[in-house]
Amino acid sequence: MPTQTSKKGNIYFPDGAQVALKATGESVFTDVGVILSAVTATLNYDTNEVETANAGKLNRQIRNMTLAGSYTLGNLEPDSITRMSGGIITQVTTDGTAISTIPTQTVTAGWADNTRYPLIMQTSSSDDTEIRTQTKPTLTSVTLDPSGTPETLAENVEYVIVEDGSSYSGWSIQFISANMSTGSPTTFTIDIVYGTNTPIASETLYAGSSTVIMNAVAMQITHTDDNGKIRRLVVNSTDIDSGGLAFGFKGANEDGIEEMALSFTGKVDSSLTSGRQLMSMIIEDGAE
Amino acid sequence: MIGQSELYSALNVTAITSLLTDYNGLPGLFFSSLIPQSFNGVETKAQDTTIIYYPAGNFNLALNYGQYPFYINCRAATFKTSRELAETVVANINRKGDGFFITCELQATIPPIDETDNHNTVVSITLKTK
Repeated sequence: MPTQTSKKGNIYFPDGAQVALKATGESVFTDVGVILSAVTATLNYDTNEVETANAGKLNRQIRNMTLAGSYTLGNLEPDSITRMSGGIITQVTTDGTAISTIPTQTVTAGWADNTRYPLIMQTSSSDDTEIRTQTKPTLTSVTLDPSGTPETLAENVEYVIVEDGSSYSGWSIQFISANMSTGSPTTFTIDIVYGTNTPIASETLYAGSSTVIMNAVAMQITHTDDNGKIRRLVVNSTDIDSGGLAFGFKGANEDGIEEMALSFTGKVDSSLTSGRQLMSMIIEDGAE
Repeated sequence: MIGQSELYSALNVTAITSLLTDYNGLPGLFFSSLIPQSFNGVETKAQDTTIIYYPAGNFNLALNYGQYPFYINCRAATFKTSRELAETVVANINRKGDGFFITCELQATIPPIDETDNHNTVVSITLKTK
């Protein structure tokens, strides 16, 4: 018998996805990191269907549209757990002892504007343990072409430091080549010399009140192919389900890594355009 | 043959071919279950660094998409060279493809059975096509 169809343009090979969250009040989505399972989101709704006594069934009406979803988190970052809790969990950061031995970081030539470069602060030249800071890192100097014709760069003129959940330190630097006086500045390296900075020693997550008003969390689930094209599911407003945050410590005799199984419910955001209040699915043309 | 062109395009990259023995300008990359006795006018030897790749099992051709198992055998005179070649293969083809998709599993290295044999690190792959 012949092949029944040749329509294959939207076959996608399974390749995982990035989950990113944006809590109420945040302006950007933050990647949650490694996940250990498929990410699912199932559209549900209540139906109202009336069978009349003399005119058959009326058109079906649906309401209370939701998305029931889940995934298993492998990167157990306190920030992410707090963010997805929607206000159930509060996070308190405790600082450690200030460090003045953070080695110089070099951004290699070929850097670009509009690109965030994570600020990487190691404990010392002999200890590459990276640190995180609550407050914006103190930099002694940022120098373009340090081994040639050095140009000292000024904050908020030739560079900005931004809070960045995707950077381990919590901070990134972004350069503004147009304000630099050196010709073709992107062809030179940049040295970042750190001053004394106080690392975060620990994070404590707290939960427990007689009542909590949850804040919704927006979620993006994205697959990016080798050509940078995306398939992305956006859930506009999610709440973590009861039982949806499962803390635990695996036994030494178990396989795999520590993980946290999560389940959530996406709900309609009535502030958005009707018909688009629950979710959107973006498929860029040619995305794999 | 099924899968040959996709795997050749995935494996025929400088990062991989630069590690293979050169046979008068052509790298030791063979879609075959055996290393040929000679290639491009040059006799092959047990000390050579080569890749041979071939189907690893059944192809279910009733599917409307392709899902084919292959073995990529990374052969070399030493354990280290064989292993590094296999890891380079994985680094360059795992979860990659343009119009197809490859996932890899790196297996243990098989030592030579005698002086006519060499070390073989097998990368077991699944090639998916539309």
